[in-house]
Amino acid sequence: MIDRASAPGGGGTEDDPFTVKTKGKIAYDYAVDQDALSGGKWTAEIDTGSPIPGTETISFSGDIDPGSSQSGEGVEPLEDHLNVGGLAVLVGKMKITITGRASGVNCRVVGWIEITDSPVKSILFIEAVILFLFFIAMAGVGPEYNQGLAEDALDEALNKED
Amino acid sequence: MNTGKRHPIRGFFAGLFMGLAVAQFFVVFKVVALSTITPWIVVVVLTILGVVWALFGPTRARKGASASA
Repeated sequence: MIDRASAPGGGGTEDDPFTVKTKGKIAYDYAVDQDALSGGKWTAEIDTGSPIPGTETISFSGDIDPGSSQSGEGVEPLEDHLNVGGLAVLVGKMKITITGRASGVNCRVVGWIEITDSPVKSILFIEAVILFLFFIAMAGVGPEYNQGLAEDALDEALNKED
Repeated sequence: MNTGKRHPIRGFFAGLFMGLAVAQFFVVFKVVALSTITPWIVVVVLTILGVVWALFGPTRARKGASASA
């Protein structure tokens, strides 16, 4: 076990995020007062910190089993959610909001997680390298030294002689 | 007479690409957290720098210009 968090309780804060490995597992247990969420929907939203409307979060969602009970426990492998083709979808520290909704009932858990894996084996890293290559392709952005029209004409004349 | 041909739009995109790349490097190497404004500040600052560099940066020889000098 590499970390532990509980809601309500300790862990999962910005200073002490809940650490997970992309190929790890989360062992969980839960208990709710009523069987109100069964058959509802869950969403997990990762806060991107973006100030641009429409890009503030990355969301995942799914259905809550209609037969789910008021309490339970289990083990969830993370590889299915956090890996694509052997690459980590996200690496680093981020804020996540998990919401369960059913017939007007909302259950919300907000916390910070830190996804650990090799940075160079993440989609974000590969994307950054590609963007950096685009930057290099466009890097010569300084104003060009231009010799002026008369000298351009001279150059053209010289080139024709060649 | 010397004149300079400037490329502010190319500078904007160069700065934007550089900003996005640096911000993502910062996130994956855990220099900054994803869910904060910091990576976006990096993007904005480097985009502005790209435009400023394109407008006021040092001149460079145009391709083929030096051969005829």
